[in-house]
Amino acid sequence: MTRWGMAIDLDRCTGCEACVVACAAENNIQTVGEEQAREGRAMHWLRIERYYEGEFPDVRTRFMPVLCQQCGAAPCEPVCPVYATYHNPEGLNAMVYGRCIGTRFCANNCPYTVRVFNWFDAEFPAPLDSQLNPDVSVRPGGVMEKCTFCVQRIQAGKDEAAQEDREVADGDVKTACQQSCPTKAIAFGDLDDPDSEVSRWAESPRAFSLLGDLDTRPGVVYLSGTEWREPAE
Amino acid sequence: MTAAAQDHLVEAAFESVEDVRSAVEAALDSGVAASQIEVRSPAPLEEGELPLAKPKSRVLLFALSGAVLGGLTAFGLAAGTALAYPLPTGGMSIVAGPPVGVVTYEGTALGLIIMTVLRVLWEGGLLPGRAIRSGRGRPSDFDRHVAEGRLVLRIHGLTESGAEELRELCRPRTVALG
Amino acid sequence: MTDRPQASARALDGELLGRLDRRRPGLLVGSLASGVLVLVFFYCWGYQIANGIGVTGINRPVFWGFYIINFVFWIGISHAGTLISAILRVTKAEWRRPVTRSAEAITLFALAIGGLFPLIHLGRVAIFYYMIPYPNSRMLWPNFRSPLVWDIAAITTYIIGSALYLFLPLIPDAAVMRDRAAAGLKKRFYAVLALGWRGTAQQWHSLEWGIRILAVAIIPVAVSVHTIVSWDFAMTQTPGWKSTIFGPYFVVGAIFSGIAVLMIAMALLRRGLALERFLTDRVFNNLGLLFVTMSLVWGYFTFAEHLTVWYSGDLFEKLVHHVLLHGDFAVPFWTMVVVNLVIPVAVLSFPRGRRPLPTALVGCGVLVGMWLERFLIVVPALSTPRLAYSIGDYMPSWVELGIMIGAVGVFACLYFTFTQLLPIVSVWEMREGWRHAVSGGESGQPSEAAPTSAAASPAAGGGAA
Repeated sequence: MTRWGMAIDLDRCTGCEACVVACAAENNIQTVGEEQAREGRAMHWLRIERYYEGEFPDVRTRFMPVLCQQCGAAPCEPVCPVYATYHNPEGLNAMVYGRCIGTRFCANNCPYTVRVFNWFDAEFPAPLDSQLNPDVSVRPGGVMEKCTFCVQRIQAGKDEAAQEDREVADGDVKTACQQSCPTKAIAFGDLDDPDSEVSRWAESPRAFSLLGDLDTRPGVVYLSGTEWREPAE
Repeated sequence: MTAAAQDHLVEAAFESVEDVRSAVEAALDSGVAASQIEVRSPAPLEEGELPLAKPKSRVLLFALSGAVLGGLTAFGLAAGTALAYPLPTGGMSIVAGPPVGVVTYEGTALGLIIMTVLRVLWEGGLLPGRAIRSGRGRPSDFDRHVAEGRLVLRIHGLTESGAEELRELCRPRTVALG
Repeated sequence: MTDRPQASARALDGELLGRLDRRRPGLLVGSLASGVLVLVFFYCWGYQIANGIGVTGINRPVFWGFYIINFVFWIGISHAGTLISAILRVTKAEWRRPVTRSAEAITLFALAIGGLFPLIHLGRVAIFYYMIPYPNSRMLWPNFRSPLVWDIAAITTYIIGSALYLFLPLIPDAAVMRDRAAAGLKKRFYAVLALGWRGTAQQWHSLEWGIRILAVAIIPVAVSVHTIVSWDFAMTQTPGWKSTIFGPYFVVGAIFSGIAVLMIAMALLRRGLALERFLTDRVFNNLGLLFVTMSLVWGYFTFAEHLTVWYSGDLFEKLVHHVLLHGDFAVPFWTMVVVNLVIPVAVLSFPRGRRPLPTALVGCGVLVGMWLERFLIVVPALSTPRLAYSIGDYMPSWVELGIMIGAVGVFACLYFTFTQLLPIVSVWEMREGWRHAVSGGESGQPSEAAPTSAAASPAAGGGAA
């Protein structure tokens, strides 16, 4: 059985945010505009958190790409009254947009605050509409959304493999963020396959889970050579 | 009150329960059966205040069966139907114990409350269609006295002479007679 | 057993009916004035539905705002009636008689409004019925593991239960209104409500059984409702929410705010309808004692909650705790402590403080305080998420404010209308109380004050435990 997972090497991350742009383009994420963003309504499925260490001028910035951790024991799932977010057999926290009635309970119970909400109907005025990804639905207003691990690419990878009458091989599926990362800081693949790149990364002594003591069993593993202190202030 | 001979009705309004009691006692002494007597009061009477049999009620029994019924329904809803809608959950439980307990608890209470009220209404002849069948509880001009806080004694199924006799019995303490 | 108490009870009877008969332009004006707020309520809600939930001030990470605060607030108020009236009925407290009806009406109306707020809060209200379990072609089924679905079960039970609990004792009074009304539309209206009630022995007997059972049954329902509301928060992993004390804390807070509304409503009714002889000082004194008790219990729970958090030293819990006690939310927090604990204890500890005006004023303060409590539960915890990058802020929009104020109007409008249409003091229960007082020990009821003088009303007589 496949269990999709991701590993992110923080020591390679330069915080360039190419992944953020790629994610938005791939997944038809709404651009909310300056005013809404100021109100805390920017919609990024993936964000680069910046933390500063040290006193000026001797400051070091650390970057942390945070996306849905695709938890194995996800706090968001049991609280949804309508099964709009549920666990799929391949370890993804899937969102069924059509079911979502917008209670926003899932977002409150997410310790990583990675869920974003469509406060208004999405607008893609021409010519933006012609760059929409046809494999991804545009979500209506009042619906929760979040990183899907580019589930449409997973599906495409599976379809291709099936056409060629073979199993999905490691590297067949690349997420948008992974593909766009100039430093190759992101690995994606099957965590249940011990030979996959992501599994080898996850075995690294530098590997850790974000907020690991909550035991949400994230599908995202971070790698860091220096001790990553949980950001407090 | 002109039809059959046994169809006469005496109605009398009284200020106090003591007055009603003496009227009821007098009526019983004169040979009227307790089943012919109906007392309408503005507030519930204590047991034994009138020399009449205490009414029976099965509200409690129905309440408890309503609780069982409601509880079972809710249990079935929370536990059973989820199996009829098997959504993929990736190994997560579709039905967990505590939530089923919560829903069953509420269902039990709801069943109990609804059955209680339905039974109260049924016993009191307050459900549509029931009042007419029971014969008792027909509207009367004397209801106005009950509304004002007086008690009304109604004796059904009398002959014309019997009715006159009872009216005489009631007359000394009554405030209205008919 | 003399004639005098008998005559006095009759006089009181007549006086009460007279009070209820009198036309009250004030009530009509109140209904109309609050009707304006009802329009505000529906305009704001309609505006939100038309434009999207984004017209509110909620954002990431504060995904829940005024609507959830008001939901908890109104559900809390609804505990006034059912719970208080049920407890007083079960304990056979004689002084309950003039109180129960007005309290039960508060419950029903507050609950109707409270139940609306989660719907107003939804991102897509048009499909709210996805939460209801019924067979459908979409193969949709609610997730019974979600506390929101428990909410639906509990609130449905509670709203049906308290509507019936209000209605059942209302039937005899509807019959009184019916029989006293002149023929016409009014009479027909009451006739429908009275369902053909005549006051026969069987009807009374069944009704008493029904009320007895309902009073017992509604107490665990009311407790479960606010416990489940608290579980909307306590079942999460959110720091500041996951707390075992939330269940009882919410129940106590609910009763506390419920009594506050009851005190205000009763003071207004007493004044506005000239019911001084029925809603006596004694009633206010007893309810005031209950009020101050709830204030102390609430204070104790608040202390217990914050002490355990402070002592635990848990990093994230302490962050929320810090913004509450010393940070951005310190002013509302300490205001809440003053109006919910310091003032009620200072005023209500003294007999002179347990009179209508001071209790109503304390009640107003407690309402503010209990609203703040819900605000302080919802917002600080959400605006202080674990990953500090997402720390946020919340400011309600005019739509949220409009709906909040409008909801008060909806409540007032319903309550004014109810008071206008039906006896706000239960006539038959008062009569029963007078009868107990007249017959004294004969009925087996404890009775202290027979209605020998007009000043010492029998309404207050009897064994007020």
